Amino acid sequence: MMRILENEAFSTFDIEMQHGEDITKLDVGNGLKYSIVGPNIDERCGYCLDYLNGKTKVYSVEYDTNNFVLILGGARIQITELPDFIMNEGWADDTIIIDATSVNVVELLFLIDAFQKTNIRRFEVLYAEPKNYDSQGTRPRNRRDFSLSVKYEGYKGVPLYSKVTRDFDAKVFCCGYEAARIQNAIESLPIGTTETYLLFGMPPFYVGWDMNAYYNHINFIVKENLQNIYYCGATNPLSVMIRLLDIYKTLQPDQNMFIAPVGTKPMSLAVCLFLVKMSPSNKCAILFDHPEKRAARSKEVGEVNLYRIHL
Amino acid sequence: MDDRDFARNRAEEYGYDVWESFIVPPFYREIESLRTNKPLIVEGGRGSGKTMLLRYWCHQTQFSIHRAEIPDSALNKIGIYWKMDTQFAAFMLFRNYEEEIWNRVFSYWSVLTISLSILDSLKSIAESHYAKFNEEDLVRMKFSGLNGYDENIPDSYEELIAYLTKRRQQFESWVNSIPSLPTINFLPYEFIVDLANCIKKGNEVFKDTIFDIFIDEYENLQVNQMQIINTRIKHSEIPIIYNVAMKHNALVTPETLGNESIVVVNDYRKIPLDEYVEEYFKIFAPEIFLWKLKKDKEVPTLVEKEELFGYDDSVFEKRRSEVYRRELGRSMNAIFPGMTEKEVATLMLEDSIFRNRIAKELKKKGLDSEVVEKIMSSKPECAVVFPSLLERASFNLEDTMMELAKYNEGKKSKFDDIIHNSLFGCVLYQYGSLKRTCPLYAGFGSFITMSKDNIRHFLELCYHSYLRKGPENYVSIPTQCISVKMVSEDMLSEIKSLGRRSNELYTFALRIGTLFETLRKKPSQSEPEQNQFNIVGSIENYKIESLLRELVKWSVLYESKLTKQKTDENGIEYLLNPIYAPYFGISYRKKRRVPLSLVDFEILAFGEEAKYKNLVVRKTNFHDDENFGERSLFDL
Repeated sequence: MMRILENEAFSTFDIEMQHGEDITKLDVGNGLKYSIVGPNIDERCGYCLDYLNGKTKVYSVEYDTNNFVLILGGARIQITELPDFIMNEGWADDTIIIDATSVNVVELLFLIDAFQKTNIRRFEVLYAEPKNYDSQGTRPRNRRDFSLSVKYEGYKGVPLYSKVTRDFDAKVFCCGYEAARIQNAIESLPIGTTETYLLFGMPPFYVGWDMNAYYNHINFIVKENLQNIYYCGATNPLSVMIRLLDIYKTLQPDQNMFIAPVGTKPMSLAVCLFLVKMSPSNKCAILFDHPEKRAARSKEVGEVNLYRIHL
Repeated sequence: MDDRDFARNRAEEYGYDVWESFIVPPFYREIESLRTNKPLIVEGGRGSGKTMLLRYWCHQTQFSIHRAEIPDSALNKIGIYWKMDTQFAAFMLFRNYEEEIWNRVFSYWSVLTISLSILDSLKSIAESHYAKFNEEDLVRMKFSGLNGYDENIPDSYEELIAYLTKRRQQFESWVNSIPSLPTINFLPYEFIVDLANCIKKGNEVFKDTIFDIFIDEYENLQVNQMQIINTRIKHSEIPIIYNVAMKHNALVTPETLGNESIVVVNDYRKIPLDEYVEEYFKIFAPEIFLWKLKKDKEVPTLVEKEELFGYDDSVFEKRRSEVYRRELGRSMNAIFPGMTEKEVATLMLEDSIFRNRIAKELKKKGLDSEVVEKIMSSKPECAVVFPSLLERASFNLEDTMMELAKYNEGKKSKFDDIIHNSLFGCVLYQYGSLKRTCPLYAGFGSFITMSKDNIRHFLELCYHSYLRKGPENYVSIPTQCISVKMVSEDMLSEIKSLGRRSNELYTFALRIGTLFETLRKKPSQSEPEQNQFNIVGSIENYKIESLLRELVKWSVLYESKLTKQKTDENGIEYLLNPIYAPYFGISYRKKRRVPLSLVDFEILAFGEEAKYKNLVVRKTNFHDDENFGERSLFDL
């Protein structure tokens, strides 16, 4: 197989991306038995859940950030116990689909990490795009303010994927609509803005949505004099992984790389895949602030994406 | 000089060595006198300069390569700055281990980090211009006194650093994955004390040295970690003293790991930085701007480097004098000219749009042309406030015209009070109605009030205005107004990045600001300049109390004791940070308050949009679709 990412860690990695107006237009695997979903907070989460319910055994997953445990299928399990759980449940190649619409970033990371550890090599990820977001007012500035999160737990380490930050480490932020989350990291952590990279989702879900992201970040970019700005498709994990690998290649021997998946979910999926595959390097870590998502944060269901992943 | 350098205003942007950029505050003597061998708690809001002060005291600055002469006394207190990586600290909890284990883990982490920083300080000294300790002396230092903790501890400087760095890496890796129970030999807290003693014995120059550990952003620690730091504060003794810096309301727990609590005076001294800054704000803030102007833009200004960076008593005396303060004021006014309310009123009446608008309002209320002509030809401030008088139930035309005549003749008149109370609000009302930016937001005096003792906000107002100026030596009033509004917008937007509850703070600021804005739009202006609120009844509601604490902690609101308290009113009033005033077109002066019930406050803070809109209508008796509708394309 031709390597799509030029690094030994990705020697077996492959990803097939499908895109359609609705789930029925996608070639979802025939052998799926298990699906993993997150909290059902808006229409699109419900839409995916409706599709998966009945066809598969549905497990709901949520990470308890206070106690650092996963609540998976009703059971509370330590992160280190996840591989055993998966084996006991009989999950195997080509039988699992994760609904990334509702499953949150940290949960996604732990699941992929556990797949890697249990030799599950092939699984699918579903993602339904939002059609609309409600803005927080009609003044010109607020028109691009989308009330997406109620509050944040704050930047807090994630077991297995954390390191102590240092000024000179590389920081990569996937940019969505909530620029303040990046600003918060810069202000609250001793990380400075040198060696900071921003990844914007371009092309976006819809024409013009990229402007919302730029508008919300522009002051911050100018103020902090950030120069390293990259673009990767908002629904294209592979392009994000290519960029991450490009940045990784520039690291000095003593330099680590912190990645903050605070952009679109497909971008976050890429970050999770990257972190898991690069884990042996011991140079990459996550930066995450654990938002409490607002209920009904998006409206209606947009196009649907399916990622068939080979780890 | 890059404009971005000119506009730098956060300590973090200057790095750790701030020798070339730290302007000695005029109140430095007071702060220095508190710096004894007792721990310090430096408390101050955002922009009060806490981080800059801490970094100034730390070894990177005191032994800066830019400092030409370093006295022996600099070694008496060697400052160690630690801004903790709270994302890493925050996950040293649970995960199948008891809190007691995690306390040891956190303590061990602090031992490694502080020890490495102390060793780093020796390098700063060796590489500095301090003559009595150089790199050869550093190489000669021996740390064999530490091998009681582990016989593998090397005794040379470089090897000790390598040893501790390796232990830190192993430790971080263990915390990340916790594969098994800790088998690491946790170095105890006493290791730091013994390290300090080794250094004191290792070279004569350090015999009187105390290491002052400064932990910044204390408020971001977990509660058990605060207790560990509190314990260190409580038991601080020479040669290691612990100090912390925090925002308001951030001492969540005074408890230590034992049964004791830390108590001010007995265990620590507090530096209320905001209070000092407030007292000298009109000196310190302009000094910083004028110095930046001189240094980065090569514009001659009255401030001198020797004075701003000097410690002579005579210099402090001069900088704190009234004469100097006035000179600074004159200098700043020349760059940022402003206008009084009366001058703005005059300007308004020279503008046919305002003139016609006011005359039309008077006629609409049934005044005949002759009376209107009289009003319009009287002093401009009278004409500007007159329409608001017509809205009042007690209005009597005959009496009012008599008072107007007296005022025009320079005699004592009721208009004196009316103008004093209402002119500012009426000017804002008129400008707001036409969606024009009001000149009252321009000027050094306005900048001082709007920035409310926040140096960062003051500098933002100055920099952004200055960077937009034309070829003149001053910034025109319209340019200032545009810049002020943009800064105000930026600051409002910045609320979204203020901590964990930032979105709640932002929503609250938008809503309370919009309520004040709607009140400002009422034509009667009987209660002008409302930009504060108080809560009627007692606040025994955790949800509300904690939000209020958070709003004050991040300076979105300022709290103060209630003036003219009624029996059922809570004893505190809250002022919306005046830096947000230009965005909402409201007054930045601390004037009148709106009483809110607990229920009202809850709606403002957490209520659904529809309930909030009803509240605005109910509180203002004024239905203003505009706040909830589309704004002009050209409205900033």
